Amino acid sequence: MTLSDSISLLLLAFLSVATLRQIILAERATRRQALLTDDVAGCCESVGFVGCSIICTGVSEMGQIRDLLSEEYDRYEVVVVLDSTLQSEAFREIVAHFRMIRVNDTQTGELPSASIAALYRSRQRSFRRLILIDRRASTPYDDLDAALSVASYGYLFPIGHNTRLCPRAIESVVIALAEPANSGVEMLHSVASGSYIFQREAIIRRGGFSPRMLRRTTPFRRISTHLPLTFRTDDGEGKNLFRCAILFCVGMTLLITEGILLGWGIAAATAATVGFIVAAARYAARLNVPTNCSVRMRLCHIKRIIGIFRPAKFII
Amino acid sequence: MNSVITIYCLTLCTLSIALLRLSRRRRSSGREIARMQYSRQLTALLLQEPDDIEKVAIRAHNARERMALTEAIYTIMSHSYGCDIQLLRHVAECNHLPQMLCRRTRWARGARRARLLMLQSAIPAAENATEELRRYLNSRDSDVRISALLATLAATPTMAIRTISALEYELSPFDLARIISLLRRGLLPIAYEPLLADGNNNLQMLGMAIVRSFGIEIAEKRLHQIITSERNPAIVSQAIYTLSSLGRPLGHTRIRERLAAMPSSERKALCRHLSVEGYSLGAVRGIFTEQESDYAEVLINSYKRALARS
Repeated sequence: MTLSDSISLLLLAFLSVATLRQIILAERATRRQALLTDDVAGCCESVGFVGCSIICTGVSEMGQIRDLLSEEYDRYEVVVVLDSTLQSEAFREIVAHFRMIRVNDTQTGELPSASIAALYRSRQRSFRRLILIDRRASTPYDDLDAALSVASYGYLFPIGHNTRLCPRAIESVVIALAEPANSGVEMLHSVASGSYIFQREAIIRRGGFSPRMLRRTTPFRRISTHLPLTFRTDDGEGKNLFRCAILFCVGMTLLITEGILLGWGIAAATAATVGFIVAAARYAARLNVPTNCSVRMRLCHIKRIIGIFRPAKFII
Repeated sequence: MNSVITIYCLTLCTLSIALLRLSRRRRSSGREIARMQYSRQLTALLLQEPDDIEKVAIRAHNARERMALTEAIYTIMSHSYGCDIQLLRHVAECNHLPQMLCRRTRWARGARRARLLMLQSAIPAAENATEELRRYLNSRDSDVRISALLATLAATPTMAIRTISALEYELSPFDLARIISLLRRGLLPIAYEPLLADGNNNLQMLGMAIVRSFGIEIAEKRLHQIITSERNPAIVSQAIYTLSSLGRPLGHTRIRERLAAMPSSERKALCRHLSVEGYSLGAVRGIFTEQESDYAEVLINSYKRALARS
């Protein structure tokens, strides 16, 4: 048994243990969520006046907006940011479908980057929770700042392109944030899905959204959950197959190279570890959303499983 | 070395296969199907309103079916109002569900124990089970604690106020909402007035949650008293929010004084809340500073149609 073999085997064993730990934590979190959210249906009121605003950047698909609006929690709204000149067709479709009218849009002056060209609200009672912002296309972080400036609730949940909410995600978040022990929490991080919920005032104090904002939050003002809050849908069957084929080819090449360099025993152990991580990702992806197990979601889970360090950048 | 690698690979392969099988099985669990069947049977029975409950025969033959039946009863109890509790209790007793739940709760841990305790809030407690339930009230696990509290309240509703006042921990808003769901099901006969008048924080919070939940406008005077005399800022804040959810005016001098003592972030949050609740600009100007009122004006105006186009 050579030293390199031992080190390789130790690393693989470490990866397997980390994967197993993630599954146990996700399973435990899902069981707790099932326990709590079973009772949510019986509670017809908001939990402790905690409200959550979904702020979207790069979201123009009707299905995704309709999906976000289907949440049943009382104190909840969806703020969509679009550029009417660049995405004129999508913009017109949203305005027509949700019967939106232009409303007054004086700036609150909380964030300098939050410029708004026009603000729209729906006239239809069933879509009253939708707010549409028209602003010139810029960075996603500026879009989020603009959405923050019109958001009504104390917590903000940024959502990007092709991202959907898991069932009962908002209720789980609100229950966690309403706990008396979590009253001063500025950030909630879902380790399983890589999503974040921020306190509105904390973002304003830090001058708005930015890639480096995670570093500025002190550890005792953030909490984490192993419950997936969002999941990503695939772009299409063709892209999926292409992605799978590339991953398979790259994986096989690496395995053969490893077999030639380190020996076929270690290559077999690596293959078994990779297989285990893929199975774990599939299992974790189906824990909360049994119907959805997209390739993107599985890749996202694999990224979380093997991610040892806390993410340093906020990427939407 | 080869044997170590072989054992490692075999273990991971077994685990992977087990995980794949589990992820597939999760979609159509047998217990879930049984639960849905029992739910349908029970709903049909409740709609029929049988004259003689003793003749009702819904039988669970094994442990899995008994658990599915328990869950079906819980689902019906928690999603309906004014259903025949006696009929459901009869079905539970015929199948020895209270005893089964007690036995299982003793052996379970963590979220599983909390779930079993929660199910006990819909099933009549077994004899001598109340003492055992009280033991879990002081559990270190918060989920177990609150589930045990719900089961205890359902088992001994007449002792509800004493049980809640004896708690050594603060109830969260969601815990209060769960207690109110018991109240809404008709399992907990408590009035809001003694709760608001009590000095115990948990009871006061529960009283205010009841006022909010049922929109009891006649509680306004009592809420004003709390705002005037209470020392705990969290209770005062909840009382102000409760008044606002009732749509009552907030311009009283004492409320203004209490608001002035609040941190600016909390005042801003209340300002946003009042705008969403539909308070007029005049009402907001009466309680906030000029700067905060300007902020509220922007928010309130954003609900009005823009007549002039820029």
